[in-house]
Amino acid sequence: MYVIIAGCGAVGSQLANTLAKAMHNIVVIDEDNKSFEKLEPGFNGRTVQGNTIDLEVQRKAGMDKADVFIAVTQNDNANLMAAQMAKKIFSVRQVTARASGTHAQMISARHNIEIIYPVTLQIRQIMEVIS
Amino acid sequence: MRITVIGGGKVGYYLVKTLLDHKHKVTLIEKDPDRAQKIADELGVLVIKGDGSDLNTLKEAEVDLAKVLVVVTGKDEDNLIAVQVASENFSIPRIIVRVNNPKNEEVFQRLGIETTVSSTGTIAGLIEKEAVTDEIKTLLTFERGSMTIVEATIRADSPVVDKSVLQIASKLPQNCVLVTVLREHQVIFPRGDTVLRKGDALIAVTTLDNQDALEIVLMGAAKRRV
Repeated sequence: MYVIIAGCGAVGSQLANTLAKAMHNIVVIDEDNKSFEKLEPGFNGRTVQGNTIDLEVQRKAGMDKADVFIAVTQNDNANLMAAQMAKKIFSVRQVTARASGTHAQMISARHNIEIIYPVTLQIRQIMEVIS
Repeated sequence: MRITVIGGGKVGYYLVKTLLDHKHKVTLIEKDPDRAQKIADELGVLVIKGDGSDLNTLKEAEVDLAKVLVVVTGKDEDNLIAVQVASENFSIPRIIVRVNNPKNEEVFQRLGIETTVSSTGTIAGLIEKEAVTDEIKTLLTFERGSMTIVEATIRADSPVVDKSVLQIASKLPQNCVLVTVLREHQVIFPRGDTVLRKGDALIAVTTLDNQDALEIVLMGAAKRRV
């Protein structure tokens, strides 16, 4: 499976490390080259430095042949825009974005994008712990 | 007219100022609290502190009452989401959105956002228009700059001088129509048998892509543009 991950932060880098071990084809995009230091030394995927919402950067990452795109940068709106580009322009099958708020829900419904809500997830987990 | 502006950066600030001068009723949405306060104090305009892509902020700003929404933050991703949230939840007659990176103009269009304004693109277009010689003048552009009305003055050495419209018709590029010939004080609507003369001002409608090809047909090989 060809997987592109936008954002090499805490979530993006760990996800990339885990998926790369599972023999997936992984490409990680981040604006800051330093972020790639979070990847394990044996990481066998590819890294692309650049802005996730840049069409050229998405092309360079191989979006046209990607099966999965996951946008987990710190910027919600960039995640939502990048996800829409992946879906509409490159017809990526499975698209996921991390975001919060009511607008994410609306865009998710309209553009067939899965949304990960960190706040909702955390609350759910806390509720499980205390109940 | 009631206008809501999202983004109080340089573009937003001067836009609000200009709109107020033109007696419009303006509401500004600005994320940065200091900047919001400063603009509110300075321009005496209603400023809502908040994120323009957040539905609650838009509601607070009463965007649903606006005739025009202008989205001009410095971040294309924020502009895109703000427009999508606004157009999904309110019926605003006109929405104008700024594209910061010219490359994103195409992206916005493919994501369904039609009316974009690109300052970089606009300035580049203006410079290009100024840079062309007087051989062929752009009188008007429309359809977001992709269609133009141009005026060309026929010279003695022009390849079309003393030729009829019928004779040159096959050489004209596609999507291009000769509209009018201005000869001294006469307005001529060209037909097949109209013969073009030296000094005629020819008005044509063309797509921007074909403007160069049209110029070569009318004026001969292009010797303009450095």
